[in-house]
Amino acid sequence: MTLYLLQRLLYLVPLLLGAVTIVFVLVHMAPGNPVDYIIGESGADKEMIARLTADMGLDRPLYIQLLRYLGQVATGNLGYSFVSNMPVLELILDRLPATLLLMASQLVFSISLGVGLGVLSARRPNSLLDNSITVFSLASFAVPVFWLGQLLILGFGYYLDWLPIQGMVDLRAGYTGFDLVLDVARHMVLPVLTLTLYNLALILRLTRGSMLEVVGQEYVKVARAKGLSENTVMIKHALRNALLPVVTVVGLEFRALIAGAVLTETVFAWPGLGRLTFDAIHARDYPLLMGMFIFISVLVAVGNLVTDLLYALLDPRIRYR
Amino acid sequence: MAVQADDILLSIEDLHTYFFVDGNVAKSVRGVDLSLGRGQTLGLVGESGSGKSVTAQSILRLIQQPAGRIVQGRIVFEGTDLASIAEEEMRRIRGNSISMIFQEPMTSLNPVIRIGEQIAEVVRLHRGLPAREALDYATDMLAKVGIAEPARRIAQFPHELSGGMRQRVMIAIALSCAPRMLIADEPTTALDVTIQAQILDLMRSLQRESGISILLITHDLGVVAEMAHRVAVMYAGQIVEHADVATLFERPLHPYTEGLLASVPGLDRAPTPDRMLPAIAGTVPNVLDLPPGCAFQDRCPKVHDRCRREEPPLATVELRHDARCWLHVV
Repeated sequence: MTLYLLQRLLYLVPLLLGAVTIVFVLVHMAPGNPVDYIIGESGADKEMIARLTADMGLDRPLYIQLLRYLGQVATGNLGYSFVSNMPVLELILDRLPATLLLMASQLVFSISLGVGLGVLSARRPNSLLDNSITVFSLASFAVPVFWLGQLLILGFGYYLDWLPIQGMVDLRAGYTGFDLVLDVARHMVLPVLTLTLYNLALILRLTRGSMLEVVGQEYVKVARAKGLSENTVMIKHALRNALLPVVTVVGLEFRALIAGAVLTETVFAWPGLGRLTFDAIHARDYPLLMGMFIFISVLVAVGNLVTDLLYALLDPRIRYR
Repeated sequence: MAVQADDILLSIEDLHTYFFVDGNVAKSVRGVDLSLGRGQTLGLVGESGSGKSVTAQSILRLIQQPAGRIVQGRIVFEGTDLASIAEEEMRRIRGNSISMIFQEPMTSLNPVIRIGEQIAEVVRLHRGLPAREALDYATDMLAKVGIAEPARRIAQFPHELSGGMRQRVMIAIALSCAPRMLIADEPTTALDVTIQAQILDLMRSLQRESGISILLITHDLGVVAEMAHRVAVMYAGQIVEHADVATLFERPLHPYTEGLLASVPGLDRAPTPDRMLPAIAGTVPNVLDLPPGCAFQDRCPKVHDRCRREEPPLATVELRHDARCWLHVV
């Protein structure tokens, strides 16, 4: 097991190297460059542009830039943002908690609601309840997150005026202690709801399908023949077996969760990594962008690793060595 | 060994179990009458689709919901009509007074739950034993069904056991609450012959010890000959012949039973010139669309006009020997 873990962590090195190279080339191929962004509309003479370009090392051939970057990353240095001149790592770590808070909350909600509604749906397939849940989940899946987010802002923030629509805290109120926690929670409702509604559908449909398959298995019939209640049969005997494919897909969809976070954080002005990424793309802030990509790659790889480990936890037939 | 009326543990009267699928009705069981005496084994024989498993599952009301339904009939077990009691009461009977083992030991055990727990949960449920004692009890049960090192086995998962061992575990689960009746639905079909013999031996010796009644569902006449006291032959949802096991093998009355017996290879029988076993021509009729008259008419070598017009009743031809055939109705 420990050996397996070490092996998997070692695989990360070539994986990241490949990912960084590809992304580096793609980012530099994209039109526009940071110099234009910094100079902006004001205009500057050619000499100034040339000096800035040289300062950022952008006048060198791409492969030299890549090698220099890789060498720098290898020493643990992610460089400095072109725009703010802050260390990239510091910028990322600064924004990380806000994003983690959002992601963790929406994962908890979408998994518990998705699995719960999926089981409910599978109990009586094609019943009125099942069909209502299906329609609801497909509708919420089909709506783009940014649009759903704006609808929620309009509904709950503007017309009803129940909930804050931007940011993470009310800066003017200057809450502390428990009041601050409450304030953050209030700010979280809409973004978490948006993300949950989006991710819920996939988990729900998967759970339903997987449950329906498992319920047809002989051991479920055996569980009923034992005299167990329908709830015990469904949850103890069927659900654990049905969760395997759900875990796989949630693990694989980890990157989609991050993509959803970028859009949602932008809509709700949430001060997290998503916003940071969005701004970095806008400014062609190469070091920050690359730092974000490396960070996301590691997150996805670790997510996949956790998925595989969860697998072994759920299914005793799976053992790693 | 005649069965007296007060020795009857279970009697099924005029059972009809239908499946309603997309506006069609599959009449899987059409008027089955059966009775099972205490300490007896009743063999229920028939081809796939003859309705024998549906009959068995109707007893425990485990037919697939919501499509399947018992539309008519009584299933009287120790004076209670199982067809009409509440679901909650039914749950107290399942795994407690009546238990069931299934055909596929490879898929009957839950792959993600330890063997010990799969036995212990039943005794916790029906006997109210605390967790620790239930697990000890499970260990004893494993020893009783002939599994070596039971203390080690209870901590294992089904995939760590062979097919024969898993069927022993299934039997341990089924017998853990000392039920009065065991429904064994093709218990040895998926096992190889030597293991098959071991499992049948085990079932017989457990029956001698506990006096449990067994409803044995099988398509294997060899198993019936070895295990059963009485035999009922099912065809297209009906009982077509019902007799003591010796009588049935010596003097089969229904042409279908004759055909079944002829298709079994025997060492005492001379091989046919082409060395092929005789088979019953044709296939089982579709339960969605049965012909008028006898259900066996299209495959019967002795079919005549009346068989195509009228459905024969199940008639007592001789003492304790019933057949559903116009040849034997006087």
